[in-house]
Amino acid sequence: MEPEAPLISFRLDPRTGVAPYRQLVDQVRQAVSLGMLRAGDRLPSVREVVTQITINPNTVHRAYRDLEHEGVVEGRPGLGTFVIASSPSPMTSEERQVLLDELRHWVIRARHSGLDAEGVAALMAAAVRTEDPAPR
Amino acid sequence: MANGGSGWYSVRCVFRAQTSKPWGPPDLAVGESAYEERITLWRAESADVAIERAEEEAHLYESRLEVEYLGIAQSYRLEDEPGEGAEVFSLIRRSTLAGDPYLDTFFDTGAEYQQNDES
Repeated sequence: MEPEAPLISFRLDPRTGVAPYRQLVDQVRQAVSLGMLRAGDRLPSVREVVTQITINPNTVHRAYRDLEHEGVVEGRPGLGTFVIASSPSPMTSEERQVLLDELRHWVIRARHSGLDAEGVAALMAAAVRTEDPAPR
Repeated sequence: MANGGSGWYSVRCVFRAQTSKPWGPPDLAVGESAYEERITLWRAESADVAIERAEEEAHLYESRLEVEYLGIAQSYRLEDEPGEGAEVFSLIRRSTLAGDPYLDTFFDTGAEYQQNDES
């Protein structure tokens, strides 16, 4: 039986300076936290990722291994790599889209105010910290 | 039974690829294989545990990279914490070969692919 198509497509941004394996890890973690990936979903195979983006296959393996250590995914030899973690509060795609649209408007305003991408991210992180002051 | 005691272990495993893929040697001829040696690092209570964990990882690597794990796992216990200049693997082999023929036979056959090679 053909495996179902993976639910995530990776992209690499060389401008960020973030290591490629870390970008893959972050994209999976973000997709899980947003409920776009749920427990049981299959990540793309190394072959699928390598044919989609220019990346060393060992880098994909390393990213998946890190995600395994973090308890986000589980590798099953011969079957693939599957998500085992779930978002604590998965939202619907409609709810996610509404929030995303609001956020885009906010980002546009922030950029017009002179903030660069790093500044936008810093301000967002500060807002999250203010709203969620749980000790780390 | 546990051996070696708790610490850092490197484990060398060997893999074989028999078909060309979008990665690796792109020009495997019929009947030719590509062999890869990988050394992974583990903090474990014993060599046995390190090998067990390395082989679990080897089976995932085998599956993901579409290669065959050849079932050999050789461990080495590091003397210290891994760091700059640390000896991370050592293996001694007896041979009747002189230096250059030994290198040509096992390390520099002319068919090696290293990280910086185009692949």
